[in-house]
Amino acid sequence: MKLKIHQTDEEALIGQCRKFDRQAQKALYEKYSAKMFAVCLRYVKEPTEAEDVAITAFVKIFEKIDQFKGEGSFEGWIRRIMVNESLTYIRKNKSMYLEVDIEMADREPDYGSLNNQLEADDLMKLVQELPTGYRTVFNLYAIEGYSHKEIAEELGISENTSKSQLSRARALLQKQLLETEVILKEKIK
Amino acid sequence: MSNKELDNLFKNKLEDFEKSPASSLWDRIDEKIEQPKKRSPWVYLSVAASLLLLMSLSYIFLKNDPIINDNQQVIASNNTETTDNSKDVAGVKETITEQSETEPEAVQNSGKEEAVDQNKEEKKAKSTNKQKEVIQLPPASELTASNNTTEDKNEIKKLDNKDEVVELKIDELTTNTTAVAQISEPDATIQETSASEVKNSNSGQTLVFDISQFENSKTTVAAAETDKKESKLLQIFNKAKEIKQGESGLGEIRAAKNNILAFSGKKEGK
Repeated sequence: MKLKIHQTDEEALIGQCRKFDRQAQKALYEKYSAKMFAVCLRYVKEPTEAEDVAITAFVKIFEKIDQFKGEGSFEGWIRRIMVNESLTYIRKNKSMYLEVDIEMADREPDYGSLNNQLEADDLMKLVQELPTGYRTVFNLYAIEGYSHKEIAEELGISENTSKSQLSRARALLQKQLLETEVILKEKIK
Repeated sequence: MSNKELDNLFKNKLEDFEKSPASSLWDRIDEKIEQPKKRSPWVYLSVAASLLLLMSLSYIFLKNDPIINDNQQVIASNNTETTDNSKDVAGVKETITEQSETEPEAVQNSGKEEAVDQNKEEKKAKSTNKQKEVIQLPPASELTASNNTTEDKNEIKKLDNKDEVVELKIDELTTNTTAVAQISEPDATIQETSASEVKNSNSGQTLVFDISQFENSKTTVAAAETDKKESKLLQIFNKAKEIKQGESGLGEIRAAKNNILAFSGKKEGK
């Protein structure tokens, strides 16, 4: 029986980053910076603030890279650090739960056609314009895939608060989407 | 379902969404990494390494020094003793070679004389044992002594075979002058020489040995002598066994050595 040890490029890169190889660190940064910066922007819409969050997160990643044991994907690991750093920033700097009265939408948008017509940038703007509390819960639940229990623990809120924040976020987004749908239809005409 | 559709719309589009940050971001990260990181692991590593080196070096020096000194002392004393003994043996050789040439003729005579010779030789064998006991400290000289005794036994054997005895003995007398010396010398003189050797060895030695042990070894060797039918090889083997088991005084040296080592070990422990 032969034992084959296959090391991917990424594993090699991580290995070098563990030795604080500056070139490897830069390579790793360049591989993930755009994706991770987008994550930060989803939580912290102000670009300069998002940059600060990304910097501290990357420094943490390079400092604590030994803690990555290879369980799960490396991207998942660094993404969690990005999200956690964003949440830390939000907790420090924002009053999170801004209540906004939202009228529930009377009809649903056509998600199929929206998916084709809308660019990621457009959806990004919609998310960013949500109030911080809604945005945070929506990001965690819908995109990162956290459960309400995890969100409640992460943000120090009750599960019910998390649920209500999520439903409000959805209602707001739905409203926004209907509006853009109308605009898109008018453009086509 | 609409909730899921809404969630999925955003998830699909935004999960892997990329937005390049400002190009200056890396430089800012680079600055921040250098400060906390680059030093700490290397500083700790070097401190740990130097500590380890220091500890291991001091351990090696402290542990090895006393042992080396002790060993050197023991070896030195052994060397002086062996030279002393060899001098004595050489002296005995010179004085007695002349007498030895007359000896074979006496052996040639009657059976009675042979019997006497046998007795004589037994006595002499004992006396050689005494010599050997004196020489017991240095292992090299002890080996020669034990050789002498076995050669004595050979001679005794050959006395039994009456015919060839004389010629063989002449050969042996010329080759093994020490053995001849013991045969020709009267008991008293041998005792004197052995006594002088005791003095010599005492002056060179730092260790004192129990005489009762020598007595024991003498009796064992004497018993071995009575067993004349044993082959030469077997006798040598037995002798080696005795030496190994410490019956011929070597055990005492070993014990003394162990004591020294144990003492130095305690010293270090403190």
